[in-house]
Amino acid sequence: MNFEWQLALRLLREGRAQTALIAAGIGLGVAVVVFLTALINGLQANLIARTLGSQAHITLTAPDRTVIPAQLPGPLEFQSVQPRPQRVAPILNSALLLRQLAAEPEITAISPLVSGAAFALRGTADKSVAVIGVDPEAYTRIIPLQTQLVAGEWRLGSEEAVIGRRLADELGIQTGDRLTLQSAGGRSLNVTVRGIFELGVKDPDRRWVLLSLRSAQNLLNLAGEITGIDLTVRDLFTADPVAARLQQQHDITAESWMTSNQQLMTGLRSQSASSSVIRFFVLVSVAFGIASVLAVAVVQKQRDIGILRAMGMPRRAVLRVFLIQGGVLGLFGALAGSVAGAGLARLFAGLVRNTQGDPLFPIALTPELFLSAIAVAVFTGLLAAALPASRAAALDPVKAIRNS
Amino acid sequence: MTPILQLTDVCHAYGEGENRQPVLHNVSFTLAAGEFAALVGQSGSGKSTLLNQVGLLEHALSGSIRLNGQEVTTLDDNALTRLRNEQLGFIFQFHHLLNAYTALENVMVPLKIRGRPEKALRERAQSLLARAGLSGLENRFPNQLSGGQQQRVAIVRALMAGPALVLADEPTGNLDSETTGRIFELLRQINREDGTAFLIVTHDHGLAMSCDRQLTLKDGRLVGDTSPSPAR
Repeated sequence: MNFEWQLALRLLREGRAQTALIAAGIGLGVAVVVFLTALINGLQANLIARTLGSQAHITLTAPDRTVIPAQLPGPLEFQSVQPRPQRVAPILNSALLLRQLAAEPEITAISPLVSGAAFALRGTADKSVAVIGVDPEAYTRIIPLQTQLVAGEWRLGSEEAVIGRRLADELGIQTGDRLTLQSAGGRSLNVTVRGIFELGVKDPDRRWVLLSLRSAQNLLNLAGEITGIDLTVRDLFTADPVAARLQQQHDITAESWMTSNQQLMTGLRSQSASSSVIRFFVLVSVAFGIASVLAVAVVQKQRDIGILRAMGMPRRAVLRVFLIQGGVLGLFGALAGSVAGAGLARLFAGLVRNTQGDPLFPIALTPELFLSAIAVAVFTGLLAAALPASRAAALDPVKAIRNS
Repeated sequence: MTPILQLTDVCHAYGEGENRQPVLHNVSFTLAAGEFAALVGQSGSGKSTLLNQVGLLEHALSGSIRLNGQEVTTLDDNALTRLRNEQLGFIFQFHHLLNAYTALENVMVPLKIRGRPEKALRERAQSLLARAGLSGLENRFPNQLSGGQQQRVAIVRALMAGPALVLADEPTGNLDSETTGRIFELLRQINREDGTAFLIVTHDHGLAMSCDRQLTLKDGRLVGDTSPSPAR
């Protein structure tokens, strides 16, 4: 073993009570960081998963129709501008657009759809519904509805539908039952309900009626057209800039899940910010702990440092000995803290449960979390050791030996 | 004989301005390879300061110091550090062993600083310890050894890297007379057998008289340089 490493470890072992105390202190700090991060990450991942369980990362629609002022002679002043009513509009040149989107490296799934309002009629009951015509295979890559079925199967042939659980309950429908859909344009379609899904989100569960693309196009009188394209992107947090770019490049309106869930995003950001502040102060206290212990060690060991310098140990080597001690303290503390943090997280998951006895949300104990906690603790250790180490390296051997 | 150490008009002072306190005045002498010399003088005469200059631990204010023919007063800290490791051995009044290391490990430190692997050093360290009468004590920590044994380990440590010159600052100052005699005999034996030069600071008149040469400092001036000793 390299002499500097050996000396650093020997010095830590020599002051083992001090070493154990500071390692425990670092461990406690790292445990708090690991636990808090796992908790917040798990909570946020759960919230995002729930949100995106019924939503695409980006939705493309035809651009809104805007008012174009009339070209009249003479000076004109508009006192008010009445916005135009927005009807369901198809996306122009959709086939070309779909090909261009398929070539985008950030986009991982594309699902064309046609949607519009309709009434669902069964016996004397009628409900206002959102008809969504999709390619069943492409759509499941956006929203995995096939995993959310509570009855029947994910099948969308001609005159077949999959509907939400609440809608089924309100209309008294079971799989295999028939349902009549009537569009605002007066067209109607009789479908057989093949599956019933439950996303746990009110609007889809109560209003969505999924049809095949062709059936919906016929019902909504949009033969061969699509009114929207759902997309997923590789990194869901890049949805905003990707949407902005797509809107700029094509004649479409692009809305990301981040824009349509502003409140959620504000909540997530606030949560992340408060968690970062807590982690920062924990790390600062860890750094002060390491720095103070090593500063004391430098004073206690100044005779040894003086002797080593007299025997020809370079200043840089002395510096490294104390930096190694800082890094090793950080590493040991981080290992102990990771184990303790994981234990705390598991204890939390075991104790805090919903009324069904399931954990409220999964705790995100990932290898990346542990690796980053260890890396941050080691870096903090090195940083905290820098000042005491440079003081040790700067010691004058004559004074160090004389003063001791 | 080839000079191992050559001092010419070395001056040193502590403090600045009005508080400036001169401690060495134009000290000049030469030490030949294999010489066994004592540096004597009353407290405050400048012995430790001179030893620090020769040990490359402090820079002289003026004058020239040549170690093995090389002028050292112009060297930077890194070069001086390397020279200390390669050319000099240090023995202090208090053994100053590293408490975290065993006797054997303490002895190997100077060469481990140089980056030599422990395996290659073990045999030499054990043989030097045996020569100092410390066989069987290799794996003891300093606090498990007597004062005399600790000082012997410190002597072996100073010799481990094969220095041309060993600087000893009151090596027996903290020991009883019987142990002092044994330690001094060990130094003498090493000097005779290995040809290592010694410069020993001592207050012990008897020991000084046993050296080949006595350099006497008074108020920072070299006032005596006598040899050979009749007691030898």
